[in-house]
Amino acid sequence: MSFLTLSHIHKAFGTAVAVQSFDLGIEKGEFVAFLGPSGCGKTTVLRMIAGFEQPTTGTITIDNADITRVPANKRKIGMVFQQYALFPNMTVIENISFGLKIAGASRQEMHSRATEMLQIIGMLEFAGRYPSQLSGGQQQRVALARALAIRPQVLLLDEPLSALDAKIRTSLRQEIRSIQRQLGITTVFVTHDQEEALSIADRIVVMNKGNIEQVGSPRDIYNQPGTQFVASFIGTLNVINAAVSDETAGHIALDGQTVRTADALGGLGQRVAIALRPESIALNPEPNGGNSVTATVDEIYFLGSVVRIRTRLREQYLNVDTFNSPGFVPPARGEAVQLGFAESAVKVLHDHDTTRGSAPS
Amino acid sequence: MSRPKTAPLAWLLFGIAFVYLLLPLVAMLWASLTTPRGVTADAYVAVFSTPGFAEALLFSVRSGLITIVITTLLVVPTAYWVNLRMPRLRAVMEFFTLVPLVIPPILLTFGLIRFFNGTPLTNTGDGLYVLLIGGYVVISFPFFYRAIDAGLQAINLRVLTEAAQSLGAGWTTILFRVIFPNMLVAILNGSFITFAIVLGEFTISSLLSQPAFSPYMLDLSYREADQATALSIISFGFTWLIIVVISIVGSRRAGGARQIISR
Repeated sequence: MSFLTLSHIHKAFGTAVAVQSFDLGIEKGEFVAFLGPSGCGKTTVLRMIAGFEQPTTGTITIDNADITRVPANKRKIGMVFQQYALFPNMTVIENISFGLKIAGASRQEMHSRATEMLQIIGMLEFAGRYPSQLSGGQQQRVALARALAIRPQVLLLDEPLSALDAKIRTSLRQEIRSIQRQLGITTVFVTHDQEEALSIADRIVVMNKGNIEQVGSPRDIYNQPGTQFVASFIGTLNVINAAVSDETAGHIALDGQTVRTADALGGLGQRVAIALRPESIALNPEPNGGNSVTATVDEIYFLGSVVRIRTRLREQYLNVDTFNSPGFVPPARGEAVQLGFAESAVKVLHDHDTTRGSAPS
Repeated sequence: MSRPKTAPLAWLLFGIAFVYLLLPLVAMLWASLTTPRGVTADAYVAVFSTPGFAEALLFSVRSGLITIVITTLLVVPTAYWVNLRMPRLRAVMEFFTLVPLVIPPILLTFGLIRFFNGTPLTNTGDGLYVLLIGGYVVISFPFFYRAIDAGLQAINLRVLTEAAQSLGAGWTTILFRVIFPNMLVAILNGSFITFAIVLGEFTISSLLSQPAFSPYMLDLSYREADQATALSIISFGFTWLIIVVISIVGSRRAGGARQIISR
């Protein structure tokens, strides 16, 4: 049995269902990210683990002990909040010692543990400061230290980085991960930022409308999206409509140009939607026996390390990502280009959604 | 561009209001300073040595402090709970805060006396004192509650509560170690107003025949008009001092809030 388990969790607020049939096991020391758009129920699940919300039905266990009805302050669960939640009336060291004081630790123990925590977050010289004298990033590090000081069984992070600016967000995320590894603490991290989830987690739980869409490693989630929601939510995706021309040979037509797919086409009918990652398409490749279509360059977006080229087939658009190297000369608008991609890159989507075109992002 | 046109009218209205408000004060000051022997500050010196002055002032100061403690213990947890768990009740609470402002103190006092008639609260001296404090708590409640409510709105109540809970804190710990310390400025604001109210309160203390400051002042005015006027001026200055202290503390808090926002 997993260290932290959520079994058949169902949560409704009045008539609104926030989470349904949620089942998940998290191993000791694992770092799991809950990823999904706002309102998908990820924070509600986190708050149920913390004890701030009660599941309508279902059970939560930690280390085989049922904690479903245990009050929040008896759970020994550390939590870091999105908003800076430090106690404004206490200094950094008082904030970190707060939980220890309540647990009845001796003065000496409190001091040594708080100092150890300050060392871990590299803020020893800030011990006497008040929260209002710290930057947002520093406050979140103190909040992390405060949550970890009580040696919690589980650490919960509720979008801890979303109030910070981009540079600090990246560095703090690496810091959180390294501290988590160092202490080996079981961690659940809630975020709506896919890059954050992909870069930090051992496993990602993608949620949508109160349901789990997919659970898997960042690689699996990105490369083998299980549903169209996951495919479109993670990374950038071209979703285009195609016509099946030869079901058994796997031939389909994209605006009149025939390509092959490795996916099965049986029983899907004449019209299908296919997904193609922009980075799996090569611009003017050497002929290699893979799929090749002709398209016209419509627009070029310079994104820094990547250049995104929007091309037009006949009616539909295909985004192509290519690395920006010093020698790279992007094609001109209106130029005809060859686009090459493997058979395996053409994913046939089973829950066909024609409303989603391949609009440029 | 309309400024030069409206300015004279605005100044005129301001001047009228100013004179209207200031004239009685000037008259009082004049009356308290002039005696048949000429202009003298004798009344201001004499008032402090009048028998009963210290007792009356002390009585009201003590009652004010007791009222503040009781009101704080009643209002802060209530306002906290309403804001945290029952935000819908805020409208109801707002209505409750209007009641003491609408009901005249004389009605309140007679209501209290009638309701507790025949109980130790009206039969004994101590009982009447308890009734007095009860009355003070009721009339200062609207001002205190609004100060606390505003203070609670300014901090992130839910997150601070949950942070404390996740660190193992129970309700008492949360209230006394997290909420009260962070509400200090709001509590101080409410306390000053309460203090000023209690010090100037006349109706309840007079009807319950309690030896408070205001009835003492009235009594004094029958005997020593000059001294009573001097005392009015002094207590007026005292109230002003309290208001100045509130605004200084308040602006310091606003400064702190700005600092938090700009971060």
